[in-house]
Amino acid sequence: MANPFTAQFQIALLFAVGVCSGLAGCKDKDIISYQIPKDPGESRVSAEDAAAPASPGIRWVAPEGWQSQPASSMRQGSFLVAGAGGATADMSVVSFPGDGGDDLANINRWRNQVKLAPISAAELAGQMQSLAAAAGQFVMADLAGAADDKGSARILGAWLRQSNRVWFFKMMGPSDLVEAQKNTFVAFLRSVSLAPEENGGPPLVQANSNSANTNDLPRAELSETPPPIPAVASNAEMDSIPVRAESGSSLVWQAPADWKDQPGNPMRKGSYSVGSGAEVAITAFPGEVGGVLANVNRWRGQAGLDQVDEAGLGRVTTAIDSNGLHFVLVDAEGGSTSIMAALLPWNGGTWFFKLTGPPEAVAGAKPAFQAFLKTVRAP
Amino acid sequence: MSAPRSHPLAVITSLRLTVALLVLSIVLIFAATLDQVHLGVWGVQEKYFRSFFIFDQIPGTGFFFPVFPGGYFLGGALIINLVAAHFHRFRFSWKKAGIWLTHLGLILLLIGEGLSGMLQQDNQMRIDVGQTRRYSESFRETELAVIETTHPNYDRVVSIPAARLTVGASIQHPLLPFTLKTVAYYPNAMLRMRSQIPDAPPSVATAGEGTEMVATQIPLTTNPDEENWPTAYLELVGPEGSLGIFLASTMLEEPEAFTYEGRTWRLALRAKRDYLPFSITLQKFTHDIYPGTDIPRDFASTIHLRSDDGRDDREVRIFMNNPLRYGGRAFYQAGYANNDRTTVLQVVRNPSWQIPYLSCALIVAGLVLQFGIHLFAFFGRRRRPGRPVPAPSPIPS
Repeated sequence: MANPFTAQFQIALLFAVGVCSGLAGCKDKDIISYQIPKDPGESRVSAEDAAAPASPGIRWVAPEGWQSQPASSMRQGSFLVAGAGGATADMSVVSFPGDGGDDLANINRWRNQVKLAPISAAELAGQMQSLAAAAGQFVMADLAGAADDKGSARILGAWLRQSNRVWFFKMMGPSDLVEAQKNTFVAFLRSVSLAPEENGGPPLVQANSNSANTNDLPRAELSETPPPIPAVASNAEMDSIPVRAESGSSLVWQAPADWKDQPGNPMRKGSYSVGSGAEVAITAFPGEVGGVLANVNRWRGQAGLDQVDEAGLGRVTTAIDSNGLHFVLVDAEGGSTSIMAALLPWNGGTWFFKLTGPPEAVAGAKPAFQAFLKTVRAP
Repeated sequence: MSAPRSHPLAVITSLRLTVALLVLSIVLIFAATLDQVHLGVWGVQEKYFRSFFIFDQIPGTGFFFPVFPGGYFLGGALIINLVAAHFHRFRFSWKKAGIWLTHLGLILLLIGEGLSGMLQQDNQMRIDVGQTRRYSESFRETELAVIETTHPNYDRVVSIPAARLTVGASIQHPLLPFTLKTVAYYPNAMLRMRSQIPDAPPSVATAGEGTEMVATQIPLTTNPDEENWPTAYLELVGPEGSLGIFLASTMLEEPEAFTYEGRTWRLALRAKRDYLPFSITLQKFTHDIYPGTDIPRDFASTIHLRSDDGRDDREVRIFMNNPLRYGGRAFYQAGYANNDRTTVLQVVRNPSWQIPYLSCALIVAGLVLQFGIHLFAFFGRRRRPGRPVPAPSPIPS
């Protein structure tokens, strides 16, 4: 008997498989575009605001003709410099904690950006100039890249070191335009003034932005004399990286009633002011963040204490087991700053609980801090 | 009507095929359960259940070949088998209406699961107390967002799925005045400041903040509590040549900003966003525990919902097992973070969410009807004692 299903059924089957494959295969592979209203929290920089530096720790006078751009997470200042024939150069002001690498590394990084071969330490002196200005002694470099079919790129750069921070000023663009801007660039450097380091120093909060900022580092995180970071533990300074706050479930805790909630900082999970001048900061980062030794030495360095090696680690740390969590507690009593901090590897990341402040304030807050650690638990 | 055993219809409608498919399904579930250790729950779902075939690589080559039928194949074959057998064997009669209804419910359930697998979107929304959000973010999918921010009132977003960022791929879009080329793509990478690693190799990036950073590829994690940080180096090429190689990473909080042809742009690799035609403001988050214990009693988010068209402007309380269903999405209370200052809502968009409810209702109605028919027939026979009661016939299935 002729089968009424055969032909129609097979066609229907093929059709069904085709539709299913299409649905499954095409899913999430298409490029889409859409329009969204501006995020009110992400307000655009007005002309007046843009003329002012984006961070309260630094001031400058923006030259005429430089168009201010919104500062981003890492840029304290950003300008578009327009030249003839639609040419544009990018001017940035960036700041990093620490010494920002040595001069040779900085020069070679910029040389690489304009496609020049790296130089050796012996050739370094010829590449740098010194510029004395109100803010301090700038190191300046003018690096013209080799010309190719697209013209040549040039970097006019300078850096200025503070005891715990380095500022980079960099203009990059077509060679002719950058060369024409050289005097303006120098005038800009001369207009820079930095807040005295002992009075607030580096910027704590970036104006015009509610987002995490590389330079949102709390004051206490920056020691006056940064400890040398061993190469193997170079990621110990992970907290200078603008990571997205760790997602997933968070630890929970109960802060003592007399600790005052500090205004939110996106880099922190929690922030409290304690007693007279001490502070508790809770941060979390993915991974090991350099491991125990590097972090212990970082904190000891911030308190002005000597570094310890692996063998000495047991002497300066205490293990605390509470609610199934294993903390490593460090007590670093320094002359001007004391730190009691706990490191907690949890859930693929590392949590830091850090009590810091003047020695007397920290000493007074230690019992409460240790009791507080025992309230920390997994949700 | 009967077909020879080797006839395609006989194969498609055979009960043996049903049994074989069920056995293969059991093997599939067993293998997937074992592999969950390596791939994690999402990876297993994608590889074993939301696929037509499971592929394996021939060692030493780049060739993949199918080794086992996947979930879509087995589910699809079961539907076809069920439907074909049904139409082939059963003849409609009111006495068997319940069986028809039950089977219809079963078929609908299978179709519904297939549609959910293909169409369902699982996102999350993290909102701090006082914060307003108008988008949800995917748990697993990443997008490269190229955003033009020139206009004072709105942003234009071109969203490119991360799956398109294969090395060497060149991407063009009518809204973009430049071409994007993928120089490198790492599904998971760690970013560090270049100043902290003096020995790092020169940066691949030639423009933007990426030049100051070092991206190191690290193995993908399948631990559901850990996160992968996709990272890419992207070259922007305009008509006049390269505009530079930029670093984009989900680890970077802020998008890269640049100007091109007098228009301002942002470039961000981020969790895929689904923008909503309404906004949600978290007014309050409560996390109650039973007195004297740490056992949670209730999690609840009190939110304010405002639709763009002004039709809705109201307060809603979302708590466990009481989602907000609005705008084709369901918002479930899923978690909390930041010492109870942030709520995490799971946002599920599933156009076929009603199918399982309908299927179950059909199955229940079919069973009640079928058993009811038998019961009334039984009582009917008992009321007529003069006639011999035939032995009960087995219930066809």
